[in-house]
Amino acid sequence: MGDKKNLSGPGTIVGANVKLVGTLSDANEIVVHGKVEGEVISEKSVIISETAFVKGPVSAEMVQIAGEVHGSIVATGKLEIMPTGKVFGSTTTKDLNIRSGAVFVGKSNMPEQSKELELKAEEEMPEEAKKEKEENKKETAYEIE
Amino acid sequence: MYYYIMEPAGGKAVAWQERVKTILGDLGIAGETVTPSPARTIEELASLGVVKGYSTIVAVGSEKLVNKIVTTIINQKESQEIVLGIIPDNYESSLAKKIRVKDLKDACETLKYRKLETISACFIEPNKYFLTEASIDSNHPVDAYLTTPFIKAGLPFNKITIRPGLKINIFDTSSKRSGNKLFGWLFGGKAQNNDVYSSFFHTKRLKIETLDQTLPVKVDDEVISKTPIICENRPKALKIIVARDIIELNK
Repeated sequence: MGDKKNLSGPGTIVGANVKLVGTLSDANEIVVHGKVEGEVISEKSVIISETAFVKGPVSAEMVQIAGEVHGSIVATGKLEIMPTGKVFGSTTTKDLNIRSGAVFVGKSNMPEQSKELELKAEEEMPEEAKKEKEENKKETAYEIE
Repeated sequence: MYYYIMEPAGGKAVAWQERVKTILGDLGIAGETVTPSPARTIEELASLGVVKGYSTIVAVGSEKLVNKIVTTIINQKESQEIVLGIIPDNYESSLAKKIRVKDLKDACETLKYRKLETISACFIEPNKYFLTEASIDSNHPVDAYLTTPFIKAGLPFNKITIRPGLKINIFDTSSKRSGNKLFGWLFGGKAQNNDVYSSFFHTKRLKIETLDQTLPVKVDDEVISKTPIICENRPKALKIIVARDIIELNK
C-alpha cells in the first residue's frame, strides 16, 4: 500500500464505513476504523479503533486494539488491548497490557528475551521451590486458552 | 533561452504582468513571451515552445496554467530535457510552496539561478498530468470502489482528493456524523477532532470506480476526466526550477 521507504510520511487511515479486502501495509502508522479482511502490517504502529473489525493477522512494532481482531497479533514492541478491545487469536509480544474489560481468547507468547529472564529467576530460586515446581510440571501439563 | 507562457490578463493582472516583464528584463532573463487565445490554446503554445527547441518553458499565472503546460511537456517524447519554470500568481498556493518562493521578485530570481529538482507528477489515464490536486465531489454520499495493487476497498464518500505522490484523502460527511457535531455544539461539547469517517491512503497506482453513476474528476475547477479513473504516481516525471536553499548564519 504505502511506500515502505518513506518512513517520515503520513500513514494509512481506514475510515469507519470502509470495507477493505487485501494486505494493508505501510512503513508508517496504520489506523483502522473500518472493516479489514486481510493482513495489517506496519513498521511503526497499528491502531485498531473501537469501530474497527479486522479478520487477519496484525503485525507492527506497537499495536493498540480497541476494536475486534480475529487473527494473530505480533508486536515487536508493545501490545495493548483496551477495555473495548476483543482479540481472538494468538499474540506475540514482549510487552503485553490487557486493560480491564478487554476480551482475549487465545494464546500469548513471549519472545526469547523473556525466557532468559524466566531461567534467571529459576536459578535464583531456593532448592525446595525448584523441586516443588518440577513436581507440579509433572502433574499438570496444560495450556490456558 | 526562456519561453514564457502568460495567462490572458485583464484589470489588475495587466499591471502584474507588466511588472513581471520588467523584473525579468532587469535580471537579463527575458525571452519569448506568448499568451493563449481562442486561436492558440495553452497546450498548443507549450507544444510550439518544445518544437522551437526552448530548453526552459515558464508558466506565468495560475495552477491551472501550470498543470496544462506540465501535461504537454511530459507527453512530448522529445521534451525529456525541458525544464519547467513557474511564476505563480498566488504565493500561498501549494505550487509556490513546492518551488519555495515567497513573492514575485523571489520567483523571478529563482528562475535566474536555476536550481533544478526532479519531481513526481500524478497521471490520470489516458494522458493528463497534474502537480496540484484532483478532486471528485458529490453533494450526497456515493458508493465507490478503490482498488490498488494490494487492496480493494468499498467506501461511501462525498469528496475524494488526489495529490502528487498519489496521496488520497476520502471524506465521508454522512448525516450521522453531522448530527453528532450538532449535538456536541448544542451541549457545549468540543468539536471532534477525531474524524473516524475519513480515510487516507497512499499508493503507486489506483483505480476509482463509482457505483451507478459517473462523476467528474476536476483539477483547478476544470473537468479533466470522469469516473472510473486509473491514476498513477509518475516519479521523476519533470524537472522544475526551485529556489536555492538559504543557510541562515547566526551572528
